[in-house]
Amino acid sequence: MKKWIKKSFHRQLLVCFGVVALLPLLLFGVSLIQTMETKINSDYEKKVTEQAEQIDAGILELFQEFEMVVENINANTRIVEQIGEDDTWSKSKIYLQFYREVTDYREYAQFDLYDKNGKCIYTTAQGSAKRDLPVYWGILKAVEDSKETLVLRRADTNDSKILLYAAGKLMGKDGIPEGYIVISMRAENFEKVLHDKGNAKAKIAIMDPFWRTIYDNGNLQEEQIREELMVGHKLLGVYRAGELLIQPLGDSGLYTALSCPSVFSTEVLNSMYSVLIVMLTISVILCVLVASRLGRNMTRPIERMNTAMRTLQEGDLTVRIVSDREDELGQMSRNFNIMANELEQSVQDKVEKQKELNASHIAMMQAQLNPHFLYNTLDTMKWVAKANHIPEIATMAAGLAKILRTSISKRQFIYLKEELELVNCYVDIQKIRFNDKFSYTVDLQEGLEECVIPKLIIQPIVENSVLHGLKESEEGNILVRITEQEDVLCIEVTDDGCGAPEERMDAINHRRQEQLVGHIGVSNVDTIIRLTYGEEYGIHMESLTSNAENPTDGQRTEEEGEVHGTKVTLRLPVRYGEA
Amino acid sequence: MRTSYSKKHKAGISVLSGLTAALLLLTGCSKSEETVYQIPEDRKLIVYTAHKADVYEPIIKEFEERTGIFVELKAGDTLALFDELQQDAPGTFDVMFGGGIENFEECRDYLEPYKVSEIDQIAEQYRTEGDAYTPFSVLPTVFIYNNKLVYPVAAPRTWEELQTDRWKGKIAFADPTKSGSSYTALCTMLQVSDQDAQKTLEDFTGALDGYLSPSSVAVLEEVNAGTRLVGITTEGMARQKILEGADITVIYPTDGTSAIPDATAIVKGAKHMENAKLFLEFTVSSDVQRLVEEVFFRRTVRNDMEEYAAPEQTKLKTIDYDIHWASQEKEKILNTWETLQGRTDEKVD
Repeated sequence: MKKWIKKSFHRQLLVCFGVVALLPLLLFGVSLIQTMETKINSDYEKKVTEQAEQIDAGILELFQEFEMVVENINANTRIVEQIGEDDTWSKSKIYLQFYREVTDYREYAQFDLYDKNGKCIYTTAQGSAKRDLPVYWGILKAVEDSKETLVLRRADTNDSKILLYAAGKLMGKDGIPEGYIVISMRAENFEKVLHDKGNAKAKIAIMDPFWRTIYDNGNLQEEQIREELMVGHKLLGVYRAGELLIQPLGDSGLYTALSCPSVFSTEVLNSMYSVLIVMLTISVILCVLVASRLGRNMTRPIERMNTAMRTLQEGDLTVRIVSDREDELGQMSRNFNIMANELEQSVQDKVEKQKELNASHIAMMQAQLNPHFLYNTLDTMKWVAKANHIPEIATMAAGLAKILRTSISKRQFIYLKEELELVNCYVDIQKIRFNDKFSYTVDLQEGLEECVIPKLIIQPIVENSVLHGLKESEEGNILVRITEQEDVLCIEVTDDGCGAPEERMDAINHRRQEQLVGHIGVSNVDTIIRLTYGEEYGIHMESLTSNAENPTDGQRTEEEGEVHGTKVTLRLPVRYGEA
Repeated sequence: MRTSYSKKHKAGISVLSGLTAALLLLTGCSKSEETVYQIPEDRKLIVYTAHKADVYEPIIKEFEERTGIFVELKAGDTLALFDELQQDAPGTFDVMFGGGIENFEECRDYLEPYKVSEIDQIAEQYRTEGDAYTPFSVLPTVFIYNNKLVYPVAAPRTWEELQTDRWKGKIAFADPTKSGSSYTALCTMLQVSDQDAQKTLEDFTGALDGYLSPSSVAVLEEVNAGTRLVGITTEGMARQKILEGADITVIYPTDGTSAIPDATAIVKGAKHMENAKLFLEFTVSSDVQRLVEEVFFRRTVRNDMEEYAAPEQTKLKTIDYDIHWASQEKEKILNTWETLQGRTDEKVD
């Protein structure tokens, strides 16, 4: 996955955008919802707790008033004393008293007076028959057994809609019970109590000590409390949204369970989260759009450059990038174009050079006649000349063949003696040509025959002397003197000819090749030596003008009276070894 | 490069977890002082009852209020409950409340014997051998008829009459394979009858003409509504129905009927043994027995409560109902019954 993302700039952008856009939104959204939930819940907790306290206080107040009623009736001697009386006169008197005692509370309950056998004597109920109660069972039994002034009991389910009994004893003179006061509460009485003393809108359940419902005004499912407790669960009397707030109802033994509104019900939460999800989705879409837009903006030039580079790699040097952007990417495109231009130029140059090279190569190849044919021809000429007793031709043919072989040979270096032989051949040929009008002498210091030198470096100098130095002389001398001076091989070619013009000598001595057009022989030798052995070696050319100026070596070799000539000195290191 | 990335990631993760912690702090709720509600195990009692709600509700309520013990109740069919008694793991429930004594007889092995403290006040004929169970109330089997549709003189008086074609298809009788009281009635008929049991069963199923009431309560309703003219039920249920305003009359069979008690027993291995014992004591207490007479219109099992007895008591001619036989032959009788019922069903089809 990571790799997959990293492979595309586009996808990296998308991930970055996603993190930057979604994470804060998500964190903000979730924290907002959670904070709101907490805040609202705590507000409601306060509200509901207060409400519960208010309701409980209201009900307890009513119970206290009931207790007061019981006490007042007990204190009313007329009632207590005449309860057993059977005459109508007493009865109506008692009823009046009884009615007076309970009149304030009649809308909260029904009040009944029972005699000690459970027979109903007086009731505030309208139009309903008097209902007797067993004294051995239920509420009267509970009152009988209790020391409390007022006993509270859940009514049986079949007891004519009565939900709760509150009852007390009617004590006779000697502390003997004469009867009972039974206060019965129905659903409408509870509604009235809630309306007057609590909160009529509150969803509440009143439960007996065994967690059985006495009254409830909404579908609170408070039965579950008992079920949960019976299976051994513990329940906490704290506010929890969507659940019931359970509180003991004073010391009455009863409990109240108040419905806690679930403001942040699952649906509300879900809808809030769905809004968040919608927002997130929009963000994602925006991210994708912006990322793709921006990504394309960035990646397209890069892709174009990538393609251009690949095209360039494949050899198409004409490729250029068209971009009107001013930013770094535009600069990059322009730089690429410059680079491509230069590359194209350099390749063109190279191609042209190669073409030239190829042309010279072709020319060279064309010039290369089969050397064996030439040798053989020259050999044949030699033998033909010998057979016909023309020794000059034989000599010329043999010499030419030798020079040809050496010059064509692939060997770069030859022994000094070989070079001298070659020069000899050349001189022999030239002597024939020029009717022996010059002499050629070699003065070789002993032991230098085996020296290794680049081939054909003496011959061009000698040729130069023959062709240029001696061209106007009737009689000429060429001396080749080879010595070793401190590991430097000195090859001096001295002629006594007309000498060379100053400028040419100067050009040679200062290596100005451009001034030597047509006289490249000497210059080439200089180049060969220098390239082979380094700059300190090379050629030196000087004119021999007078005795005073002549070096002693030169003076000895030159004819007396000759005042001019040329001396060319080659300096190169002494080397031995394989040629 | 890689490590530096992962460092960055770690930094990101720590920032995230910090934020989450802050969120949790924000949203965490503060706990105020708590009231814990709980029912201690020693104040519980699990009761399975075959009684109707009219019977068990006041008794359970009064028991709870007098003792402070929380009763968990499961009500159901007699036979289903006794099946559970035999199949459930010991300790699943503590008390079996209600059901004919032949069922208790059958399940003696699953019951914990207990002798109630007022055993001397219990009529001798209802005391149990070894005190395996404690009788609760006596339920004489009686006939009822619809006052509007049947003349008093024409009403059936004997078991024999109900086996004739005269009442064919007009008798409301609950399925004895489901209702305990119905099985008792069937056994009473078999024990009263002089003729062979098979014959009696055949005659009776013939008289029922393939019809069975869905429950023992339905018998009363059907007779009251007139869909059946006569019915076989228990005295208590009939009298209660009359009190509720039903226009029916109770007939005590002149050839005798059974007056066998139902019972209460502690289940072997009961978890709440002490509370179970308290419950058994309570069921035979004079207060409850008085309620049995005065409110449930059943007959008490105590011998000291004549003052509360119903005047009809005298009309009752009881037979010496053989519980052991009823218990032992149960499977055989019910099998025969089902076979016959199947045969009549086929005829009807």
